[in-house]
Amino acid sequence: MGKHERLTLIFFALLLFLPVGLSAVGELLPAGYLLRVVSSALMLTSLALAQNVLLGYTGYPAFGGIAFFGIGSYTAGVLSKNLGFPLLLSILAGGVLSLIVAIAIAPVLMKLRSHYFAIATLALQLALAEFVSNLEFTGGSYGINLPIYRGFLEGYLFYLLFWAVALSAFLLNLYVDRSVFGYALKAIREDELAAESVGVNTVLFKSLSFGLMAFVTGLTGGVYAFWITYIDPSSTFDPLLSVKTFVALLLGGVGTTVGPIVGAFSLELISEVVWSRFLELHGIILGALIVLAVLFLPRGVVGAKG
Amino acid sequence: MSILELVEIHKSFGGNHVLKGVSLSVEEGEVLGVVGPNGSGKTTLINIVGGLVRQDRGDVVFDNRKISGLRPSERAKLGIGRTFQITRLFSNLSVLENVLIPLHYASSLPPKREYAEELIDLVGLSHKIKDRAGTLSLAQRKRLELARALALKPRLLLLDEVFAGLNPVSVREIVELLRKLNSEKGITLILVEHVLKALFQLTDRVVVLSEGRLIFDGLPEKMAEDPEVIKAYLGERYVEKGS
Repeated sequence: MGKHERLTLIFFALLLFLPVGLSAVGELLPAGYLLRVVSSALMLTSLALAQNVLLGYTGYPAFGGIAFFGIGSYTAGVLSKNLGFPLLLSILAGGVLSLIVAIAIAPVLMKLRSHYFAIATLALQLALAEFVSNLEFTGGSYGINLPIYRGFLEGYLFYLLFWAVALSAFLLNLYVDRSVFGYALKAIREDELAAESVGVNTVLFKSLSFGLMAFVTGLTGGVYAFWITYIDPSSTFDPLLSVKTFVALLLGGVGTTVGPIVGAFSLELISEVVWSRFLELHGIILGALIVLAVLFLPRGVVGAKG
Repeated sequence: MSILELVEIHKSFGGNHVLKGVSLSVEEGEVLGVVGPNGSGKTTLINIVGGLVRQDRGDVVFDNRKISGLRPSERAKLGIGRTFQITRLFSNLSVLENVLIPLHYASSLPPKREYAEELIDLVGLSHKIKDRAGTLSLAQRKRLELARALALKPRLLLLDEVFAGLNPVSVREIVELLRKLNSEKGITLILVEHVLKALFQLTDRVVVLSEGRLIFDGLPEKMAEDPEVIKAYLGERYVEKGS
């Protein structure tokens, strides 16, 4: 394991104890606020790491990958609210349904490549948003109100869930980076026809890669639904979230294990600082930062060194 | 025993009828040259055997088994290896990784690093083993493609213009290598080729494709005298002049 990857694991270990540390210092720091910011950063980390499996290692940019964030959050919401499923099971079901949908559509969708594939997935995301807006049991465009969670680990549960999903996503990336399974994905990224001609069943492996992206994205959506307690089509199928995921990924370094994490945390923290200091200009400042990053670090912060 | 049998292969791309009923039989251990003017359907024929292109009509029989419905990856596992006219390597992966991938995914042997190194040594790229494939020269890329195809443990190797763009020294080295693969490992070779001099050093049977039909099948030395071949390459006038 590389130095950066060991440091990342230590970073994850430290994050696990952040809630304990915050409660120890008591009123000195705005604990709730800090936990919320780090939770958002962990959520973005999971989304970027999920997309990294597909774009970074397999070479397919699912710009509308957030479609599965929506599927995950709505599955979790509907199952727990309408059918009384327990919280963790609802979240897991959101991930599994995302996986199934992804595997089912991948063989057709992934006949498209590069921009065409990106646009097709974005179309899926927008179409699903419309679809959900017009269904009775999803609350239409009003969305779903979920009960506020009370009980074991109250106040920390969602932080820990985001942490667990992000850590799993990182371990998944580590696995893909150095396994035989990962070789198949990288071969597809490098040259799909050549991969097929040396024995890699490209339809199977790119579908699996798409499925893994969808699974992690769906889980993240499920945790988000219970955390935020209110979901509607425009917030869960949000194109801006797609943009943020890609910016985090490009900023940190596509196709590296650590890059997406660095990208997600820097983007989340920078945007938080900029937002609170320059309320009216934050969009412009953030945009300028992204332009500078793309100009001077075209392979991302981590990719530039590697 | 014939290892490959093509039966009445037809293929059109839109209105362009590229192959018009090509039948061909290749013996195990044979070296077959496929020549023909540009656009005569040579690469399409290779792609149909490899599975990248599906024929409209006709059958591909490999080792007494119809393989028309198999994916290219499944054909690779049966032992059909290939190289490409314009090399298609995994550019951002190392030379070693390029050879390891088929060892993992298509070979029946347990993947061994030593075997990959042996193949890389065979094509003379040992000193580049850790380099990214994208940094290699054309001649080195062609060698690496050959090593990658050999990692499948192929019984049939399809070589699409393997000599194109190489200098005489490289051509001679690759001719030697192919001769060795054919005689020592018994690999059947099908070469689509424009460099006839190199081809004739390797093969004793040539077929000529012209406008999607086989117009000649026989000894290389007879090829240049065949009126149909002269017509395809030089035009009708030269046939009359020659006769």
